[in-house]
Amino acid sequence: MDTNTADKLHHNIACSFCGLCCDDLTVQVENSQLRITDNGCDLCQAGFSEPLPPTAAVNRQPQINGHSCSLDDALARSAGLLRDSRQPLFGGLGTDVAGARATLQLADRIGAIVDHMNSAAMMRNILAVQDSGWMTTTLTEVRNHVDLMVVFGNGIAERTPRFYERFFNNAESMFGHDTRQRELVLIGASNDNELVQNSSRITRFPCAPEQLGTIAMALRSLVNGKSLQTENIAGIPQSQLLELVQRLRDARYSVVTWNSSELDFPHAELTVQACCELVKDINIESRCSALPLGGSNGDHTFAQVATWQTGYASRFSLASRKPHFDPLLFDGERLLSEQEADLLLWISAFDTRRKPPLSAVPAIVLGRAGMQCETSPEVFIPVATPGIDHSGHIFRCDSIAVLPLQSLRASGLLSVAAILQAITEHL
Amino acid sequence: MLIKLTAGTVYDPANGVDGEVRDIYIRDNHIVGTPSADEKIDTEYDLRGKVVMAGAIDLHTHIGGGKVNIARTLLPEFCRSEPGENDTRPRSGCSRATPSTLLAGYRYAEMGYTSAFEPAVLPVNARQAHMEMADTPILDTGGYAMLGNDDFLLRMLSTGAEQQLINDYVAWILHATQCVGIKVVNPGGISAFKFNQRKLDLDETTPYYNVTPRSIVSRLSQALYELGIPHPLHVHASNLGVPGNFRTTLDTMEAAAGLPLHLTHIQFHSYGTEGDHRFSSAAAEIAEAINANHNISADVGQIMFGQTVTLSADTMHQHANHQHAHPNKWVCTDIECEGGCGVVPFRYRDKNFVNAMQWAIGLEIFLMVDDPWRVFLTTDHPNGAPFTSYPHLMRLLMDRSFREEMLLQIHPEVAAHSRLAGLTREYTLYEMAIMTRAGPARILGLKDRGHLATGAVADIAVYNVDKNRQRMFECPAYVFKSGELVVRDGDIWNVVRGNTHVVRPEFDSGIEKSLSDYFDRYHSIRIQNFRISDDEMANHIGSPVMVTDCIARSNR
Repeated sequence: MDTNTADKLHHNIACSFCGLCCDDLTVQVENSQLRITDNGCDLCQAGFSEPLPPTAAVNRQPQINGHSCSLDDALARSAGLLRDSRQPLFGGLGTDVAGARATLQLADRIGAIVDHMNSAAMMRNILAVQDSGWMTTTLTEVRNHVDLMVVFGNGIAERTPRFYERFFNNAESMFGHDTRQRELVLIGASNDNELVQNSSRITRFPCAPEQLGTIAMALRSLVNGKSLQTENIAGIPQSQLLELVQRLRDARYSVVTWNSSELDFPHAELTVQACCELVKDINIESRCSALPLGGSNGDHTFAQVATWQTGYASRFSLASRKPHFDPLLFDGERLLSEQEADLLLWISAFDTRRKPPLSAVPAIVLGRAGMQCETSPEVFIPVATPGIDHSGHIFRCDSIAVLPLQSLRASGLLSVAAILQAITEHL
Repeated sequence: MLIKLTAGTVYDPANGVDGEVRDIYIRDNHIVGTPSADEKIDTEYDLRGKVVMAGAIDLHTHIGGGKVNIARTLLPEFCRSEPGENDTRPRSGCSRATPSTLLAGYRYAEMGYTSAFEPAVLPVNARQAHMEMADTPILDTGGYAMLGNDDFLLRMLSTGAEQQLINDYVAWILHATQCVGIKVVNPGGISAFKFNQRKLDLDETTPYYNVTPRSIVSRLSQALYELGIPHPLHVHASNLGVPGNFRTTLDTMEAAAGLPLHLTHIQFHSYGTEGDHRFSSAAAEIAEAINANHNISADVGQIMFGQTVTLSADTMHQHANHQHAHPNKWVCTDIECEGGCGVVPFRYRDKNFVNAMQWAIGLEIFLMVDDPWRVFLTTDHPNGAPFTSYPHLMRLLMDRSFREEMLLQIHPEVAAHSRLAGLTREYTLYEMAIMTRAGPARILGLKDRGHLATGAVADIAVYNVDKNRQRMFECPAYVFKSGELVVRDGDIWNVVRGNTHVVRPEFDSGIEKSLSDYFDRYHSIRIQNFRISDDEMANHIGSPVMVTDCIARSNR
């Protein structure tokens, strides 16, 4: 990071508000107010520019049952609740690497169940990998190699806004390819074509999200030389799918992408798996790679740290002195609605809108300063946001690059890691 | 704090000490000379009848970086079936082949290991590798950055860049990634796979760049020599696992043209094509070449029977081998125009001819390479077997009758097709201390590790003597890390944090300008965010750096 303190302009800043983690931002800071002046997108602008509440505001103060209190009282009360809990759940978990490490250390010590707020989306990919694996690629590979990209779903522009700009419409590739010749196939209800520079090279196959898996499976069968007994697959003539199969075979380096967070229907992991198996089978003869996109609120970060420390990304329990994974049993929302957990520790350091689910279970909330919970939790502690209020690390959606996050202002707020450490000391 | 280790039987090959009864003194973190009579000994350990060695060093073990996490994600059953159960360990964990980082640290220390090196650090993924190693307690760690399939180097080679420029790039990578060495995996082959090429021999040219693997090995080994990096180029040669590949391995040795070269998991590269199965041992040819060429060193990559997972940057061969996946699921990933990663679970079967031969080939290499300073004990964890099988491997090497007993239990044709039965050599404790302590320290340039003389860091393992060497090495009486008692009777006693070994070769920083432009044009992260600073290592990643000296040499 380069900092020009005179006009408070920070260059080469990484963003933590979507899975692309673009690190080419220029951020202007004036009186603790941040603004992206270069290379921002809507998501990033919103994340960085959310105002810090005034020091005296109630949601910048620690609270017990909705009443402002000292930090020490909030920490002591939190420690007391954790000590007395028989089945604590650590949820939310929107934090950076240091926050994830501190979360897991505390969870291991007191025997908590651990579930990230984005687990439902994460599990769609993870269950597919656990069952049959996949062949994937990463962002720089796409930027330089791709000549045919197939998008399954409602488009990737909404949740990863700069994807096309940075990785598809890039001016030049390492290998001297004319990037304007790149072809895009949109399967689903995508509007991404508006963002692609040469719309004549776009093919669209509109369909409902629930039909994506059928189409992927049909493509896979055709790749393997099987004949289908029906003329239409999810409303698409078989001849058109055959044509697409030929394009996939002929491509130098095709990429199949989706965002699991939008595949919000039962057993969507089978749709993911169908895409993955399609990719694998194309590779018998030519090259094709999957690129699972998406991510927010430190989900990839938490998944990576938890996986190296416990073997599992999310939805596991540390209650029995060994990690125990169960994607159904340890679904946090289910545990809360069934009141199988008796205490919730909710962490959301990036996003004031990601509040704990409403439930009868008492909660300790470590929320980005400014978060306004619907009902007052037992304890609320405002926390610093990584990459804004303190430095740290975040994982990109391809889980390969780990970007350093910088401290851009002095808010006086403590990081999640620091607060969890302090709670541990009160235990 | 002054500690006295009294009257242990010391094996310290770096200082020529072969089983002599000696006292050792530790002051704070280091071994010191005999203190004056008026100095107070704070703690004394009576080591009469016990064997004392330096803490062991594993120079090739996959304990950090994205590939292990991919394997953990792919194989939750490893965690489920092998939970870590030991109440003396402060944190929970699971799995043997893909142990969670905390458990890996405990288990290494529980065998008397105090340092371990991750051999496959992708530069773009170096932060994660260091984070995982920082979360591997007790051990000092280090990484080898992978080059030789990265666009920048291949581009330089294809345009005939001067050696000086290559040296600058190699040095810059070592600084930026906080690594201690350079590894090349299937030189050029991982890149070629991205252009849909499925095979690349040492003298074939890569697609797009038109460079040969031979030139990659030769230019990189030259760079390391001139930069004065202690550890030679760490080479995972072309044609891994392919029957007949021993010729490629011999040719790769030749590509170094007399410069130091380390061939890793050489067992996987020592296969012939003789016999009914068209698969045979070429261990004799390989061992002979190592014996004859003093610039060559190797670690073995011994396989053990049972379930494990293979993980390698060599996507070309991992993809080719995916039909052997057991259980039947696997991952291959192309990474950042830099490298790749293939994860294929595998079960080595003792009644399978090829697997049983692999086992025999590894042992043959151990037993036929004369110089224990140039052959290292590894299983290429977890590719050949989890590192927890080291004590069993030590017994196989130190106990001929045990080895022959094992040979009788495996595929019956192996005894007839390998020289193993005729190899009478038994490794001594002194040789074992070379292969697992003094040797790795020397080849990594670590002057204060792997030995027990005054000034060494007090990384010390103490074993109860047991004729069953497996039992002996899997349960040390005491292990000290930097002078702190960390293991007692094979159990974790106290947990300390480790540091990271790095090298800092000198280079012309002018290279940064072209790299910065290159990153902006083609990569997905900025160069400023690619480099890892010392402050980041110490305060955020959690493993402060320790610098090993490089002494630059002029061109040969």
